[in-house]
Amino acid sequence: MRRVLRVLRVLWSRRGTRVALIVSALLLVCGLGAEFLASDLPIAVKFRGEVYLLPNIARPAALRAFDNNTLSSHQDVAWIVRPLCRWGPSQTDLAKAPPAKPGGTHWLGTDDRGRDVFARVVHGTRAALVVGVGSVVLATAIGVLLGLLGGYFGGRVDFVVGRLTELGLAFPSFFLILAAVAMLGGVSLTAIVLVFGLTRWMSIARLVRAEVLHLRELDFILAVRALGASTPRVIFVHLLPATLRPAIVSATLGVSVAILTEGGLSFLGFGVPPPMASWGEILGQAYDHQGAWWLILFPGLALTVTVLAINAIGEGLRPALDPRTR
Amino acid sequence: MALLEVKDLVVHFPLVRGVLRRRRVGVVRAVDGVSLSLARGEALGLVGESGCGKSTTGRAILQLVRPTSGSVRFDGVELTELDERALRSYRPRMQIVFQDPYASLDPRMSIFDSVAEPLREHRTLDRAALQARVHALLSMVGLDSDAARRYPHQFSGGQRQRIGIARALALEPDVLICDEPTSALDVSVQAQVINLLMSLQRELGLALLFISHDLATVRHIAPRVAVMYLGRIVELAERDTIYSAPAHPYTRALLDAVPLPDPARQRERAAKREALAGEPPSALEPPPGCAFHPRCPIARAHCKTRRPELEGGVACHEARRDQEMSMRPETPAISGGSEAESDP
Repeated sequence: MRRVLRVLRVLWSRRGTRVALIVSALLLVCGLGAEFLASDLPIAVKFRGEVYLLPNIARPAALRAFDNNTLSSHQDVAWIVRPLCRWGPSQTDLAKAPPAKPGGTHWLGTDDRGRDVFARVVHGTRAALVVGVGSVVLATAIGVLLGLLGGYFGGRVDFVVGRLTELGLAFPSFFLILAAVAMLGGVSLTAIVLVFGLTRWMSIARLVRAEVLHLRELDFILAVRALGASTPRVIFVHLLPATLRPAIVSATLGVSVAILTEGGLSFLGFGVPPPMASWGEILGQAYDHQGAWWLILFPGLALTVTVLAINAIGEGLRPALDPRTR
Repeated sequence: MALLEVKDLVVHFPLVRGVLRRRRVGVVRAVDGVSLSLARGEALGLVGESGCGKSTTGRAILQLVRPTSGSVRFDGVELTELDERALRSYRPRMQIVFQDPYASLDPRMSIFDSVAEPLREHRTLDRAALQARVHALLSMVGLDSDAARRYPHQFSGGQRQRIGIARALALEPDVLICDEPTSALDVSVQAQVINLLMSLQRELGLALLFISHDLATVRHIAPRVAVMYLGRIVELAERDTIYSAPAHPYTRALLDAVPLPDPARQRERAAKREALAGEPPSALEPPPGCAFHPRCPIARAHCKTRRPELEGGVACHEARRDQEMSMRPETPAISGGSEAESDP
């Protein structure tokens, strides 16, 4: 925990990475608290003498027929706490012909089904973060483990790891997803995370393997072996922390690649399952509605800013994780 | 019986090439038949040029590099036949101090954790006892106990080498292999580390295998010295014999290369010296017969075909005959020794 704080402090001390850190914090807030920023139901309401807490998350049956708009003007409502934006990501508003320009209660306009673009961009953060972070955590775990084993044991183990890596690199993950969609007749968020994770560990495995090949000949590893430390101890106590630095840097950059890939898939209509919000899905609609600039600008901005921020943090982590700066 | 008995130790590194079909294209003969023994509490020096296989010998004795063939008996047990798991119970009794103090400590571990690691692995000590032991070890090598909280990069080379020694001694080994422990250090610091090692050896009754390319340092620390050339021991004798009456032409050339402190005598010697011609040959394809023959001033025809064995402390066909005819080389004054003594 102290180390995490120290790394954050180093990142904070530079202007570039400080901005990236703030953007990432905002993204995290959007991803975790999307329901508080934009929802069709209030955060709290007293309706017909009863207090409902967090109906925006709990979705009680009694409020099923209502939304922020109908509740606000309802005579049985004593008080109401609304989220920042009163529209939910799947709620349609056909008062104006969709897609509607930004204005009125739709700050960023609506999409081609009359859904609020602000709400969808905010909720799209969740899909981006889950896919980005989830798949990279999986990929890093696989890559680091295989790289450590191949690099340390060499010989036959290394041969197997090497061939597995080459096999993995031969599969384009983008088309693997398309194939998975075709085979499964639809894709869940979990499936995307799994396929991304299982197709992106190779570069990390190679990185870690190369690092271990170098490290295991260093005197401090020989010294630890001479002291009679067990093999798991050598690998996980001494080698793992030393290889984590390049792995974390590479993993961070991998998050933005995964987010971009998910955006691309959703753009093509093969991404997260509808009606779940995704930035790529909004961008895809712009393809059919020329002149609807708000369908390009806002999700595009979200995607770009996210990728830039994550890449900046990845670059900043390189010096921040150097043990000599401790 | 000797505590450590090494016989015909051979370490060959195969060179493989090819992507699909891995072919052996050659063999690096790093260690090619080394025999030596070490008694309890004895110090043995092992000298030679870089690349002659002295470090590999040290590592092969500890089974950090598995020998290709040969025998390493420690306290009557054949180490080459033990697997990693069985070796673990012998590891505490044989330790090593490395050449590069900047690479031999885990940069991510505090000094306390580094020194405590062997104790945690092999002993069951409670927190207080562990702390006391680590502090005792640090003070034994002349470091403050508040060093324990710091990290390797906060120390100088000499201090790190002391930490390495403290870690190696944590389990009270019988044998300590010092793999050029001073060659990465400043001269003034070298002497301190050498003196520390010598006093620790006396106090703890350590058997010391001191590997170095520096004849002066070895003379200071080891009463018995082995000289290695291209994976083989060419001369093994008492310190006095080696330094005043070297038998092997290679040993003589090495001693000749040690500079004399008196410029006049240095010039005088340089004038009549026959310097060694050429580089040491590659261990990839060592010359047949005596590996030293291409550079040897007294080589004869049979040196090119027949390999001399170590007999009477010398591995040379011509040494004895030659020694009677030629003058003994001038004994160099050993600079490192006097420095080490004058240093606190």
